[in-house]
Amino acid sequence: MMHFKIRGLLIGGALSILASVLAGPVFAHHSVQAQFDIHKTFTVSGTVAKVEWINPHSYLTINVKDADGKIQKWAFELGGPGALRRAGMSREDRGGLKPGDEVTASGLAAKDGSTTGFLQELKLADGRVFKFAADPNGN
Amino acid sequence: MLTRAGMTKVAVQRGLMIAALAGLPFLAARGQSNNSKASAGSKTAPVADDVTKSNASDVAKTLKTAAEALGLARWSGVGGQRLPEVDVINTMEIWGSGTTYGPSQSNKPGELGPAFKTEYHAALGYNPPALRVEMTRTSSGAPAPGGAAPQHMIEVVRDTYAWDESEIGGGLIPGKGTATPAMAAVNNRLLQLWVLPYGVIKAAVAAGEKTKISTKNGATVISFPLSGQLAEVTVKATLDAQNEVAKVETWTSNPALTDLVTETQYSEYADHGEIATDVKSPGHIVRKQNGHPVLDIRVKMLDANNPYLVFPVPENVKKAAAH
Amino acid sequence: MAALLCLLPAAIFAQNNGGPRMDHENTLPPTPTGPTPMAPDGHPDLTGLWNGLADNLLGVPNQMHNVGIEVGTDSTRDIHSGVQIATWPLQNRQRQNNEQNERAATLLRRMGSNRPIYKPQYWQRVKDFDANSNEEDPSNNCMPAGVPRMGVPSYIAQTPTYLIFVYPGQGGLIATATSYRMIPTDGRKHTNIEELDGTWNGESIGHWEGDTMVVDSIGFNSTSWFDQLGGYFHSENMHVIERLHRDGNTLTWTATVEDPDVLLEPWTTTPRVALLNPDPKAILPEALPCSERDFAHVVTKEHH
Repeated sequence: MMHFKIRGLLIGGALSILASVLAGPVFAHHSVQAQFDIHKTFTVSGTVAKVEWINPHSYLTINVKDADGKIQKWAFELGGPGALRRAGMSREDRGGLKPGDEVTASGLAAKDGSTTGFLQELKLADGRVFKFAADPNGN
Repeated sequence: MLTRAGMTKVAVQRGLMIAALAGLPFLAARGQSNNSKASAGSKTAPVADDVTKSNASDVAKTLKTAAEALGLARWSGVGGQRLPEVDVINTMEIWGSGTTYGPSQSNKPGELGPAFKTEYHAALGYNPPALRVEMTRTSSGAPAPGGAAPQHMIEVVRDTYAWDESEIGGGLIPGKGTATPAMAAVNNRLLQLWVLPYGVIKAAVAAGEKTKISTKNGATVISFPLSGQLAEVTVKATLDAQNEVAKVETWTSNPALTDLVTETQYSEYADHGEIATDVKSPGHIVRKQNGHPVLDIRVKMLDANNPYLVFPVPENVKKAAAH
Repeated sequence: MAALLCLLPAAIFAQNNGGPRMDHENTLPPTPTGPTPMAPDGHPDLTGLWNGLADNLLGVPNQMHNVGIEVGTDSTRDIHSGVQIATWPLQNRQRQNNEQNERAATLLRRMGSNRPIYKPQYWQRVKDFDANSNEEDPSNNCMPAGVPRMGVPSYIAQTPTYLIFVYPGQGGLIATATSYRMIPTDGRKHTNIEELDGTWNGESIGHWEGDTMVVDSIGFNSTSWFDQLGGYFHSENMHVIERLHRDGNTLTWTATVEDPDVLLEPWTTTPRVALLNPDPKAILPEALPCSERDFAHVVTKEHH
């Protein structure tokens, strides 16, 4: 079952200590803002389709069922294995990103409306949540 | 609270930034009018303001606030969190349109010279200090007999060289345009860099302890001398309520340098770039020189992303300067 | 909401290929320490893993160093012009979000005075390439950065008759595939230029001038750009002279670009000083393969 909400974040700026340490695309070879709306986040739940550890951005693709039961593929940019490890995900946790496993992902919405996102938060089936970036407004 | 240790310390290399201080060629006349009689207005010192009592801490704080209002003081967390803010402004390109005025027929203060509808295009840089102003002007008055073609001029300054180009970059490659030395215009042209809001902040920081802060009618005023070639010029910049540079007045006690007595008003600040840079620039620029209006321009676009703008000095200009 | 699991101290960079931390507090070159190892033939030995500052192309501090902006604790200098640049203390830095971070980065990477001087008929083209770099950057789509854009190799192996330079692929400023160069130092001459079809790295030969290794390259394609950013295109007649000098645990690299077809005069990069990886047991990590997915979704012209 998909739940899909978009919420805008209106949090005032705190010094964004973590802002630069996004999980991977810190040095996006284009600007993150050219592709994603840093003021708009969304959440989807579904099952892992695949994880690709590549440059410039690794990708987590999630199969999400829409209201009609059809599968939509949502592709989230994320950091490499090192970034996930430093976020507290163990090797076993990352093993939980294998095809078929259930996850809930929140991220920055794509400006072009495509089913892509810039991963900020990942919730595994056992309820644990991993955050990969500070609030886009700097908190 | 800023301590002495925390204040901006800038030791200026005299031979460089300083040498760049001179006047800008927004004039209809080609910057040669300094042999005209000085008008009454240029001989008097600026009206005495409220007492300028400011310590270095006040000055540093004010300059930082003004720098932030322009988007000039910047840092980035991309790949590192521990660098301080620096002045990030180097090159800029400005497109605008409006009116420029030729020299007035009399020396009565405020009197307008002939007006020209003007397309204005400037490329500038602060490191090295340089400016290329390209203008296309048509007379706003009665049409000239036979219909005059629009005037097109390209006036350049770089460090201590000034020249006019027949086309952008003319005179650098044989057969591709010409460069005509205009050494007498160096100071006039360079001054324009330092009366732009970004130049004001840069020069105020560079002036170190000579920079003073005061208030007049509730507005903050920054006063400092320029240096090097423009050492006889003092600048007074007034900030608006958003700490943007709203008015810049320059004055000199040297009666021969009346063209360096200017007043420029800046308003309608916004990010005027096609690509957002968070650099704020004025949308409306109005300038007087020696008491007479010379320019009233509305900015259409401004590229503040440190674009590729270069100002190589043609060989014949270097040779002319050497004589 | 589950508790925030913070990333490690902000200093650690996510995709630095396993190299040391990159979060520099200034952009000053490292000071050399230690002796300079010598090869049996009496020349300095350049062999080593030269990623002690993390990658020379990643992170705004490295990128500012690359354009000659030396940021100290409370003063900043452009090393080419000598101009002092206003600097404000770190503790009073204004707060900003990621958009502002990126916009500032774009400016900070371009604020230096050391720019190649093109012929006037190319000025607009350079500007357009830079402004439209999301589309125009030839290193997009995991293409090579080429020479000299790759900068300092992360690893050098030196033998008596050749050098091997290795540049791991990056996912950063210019997302690239891994590249390597094999540079003969046996005294041979270049192939006749007419017989060279033009490649990303060109044909390189190396020789010693005193203690400096001089690498001379010709035979480029005209597809690459020759500096970290800026839209600096070139012709197939580009000629690149790189100079590498080792001093203790530092390696200083410069590249001079000659291209009379498009430039008014030769241009030399700001010297880049790489630091030997301080871990004597460090090895070159595997770079992730490159696959570009983003450009189909880029909507505006904000660029790196």
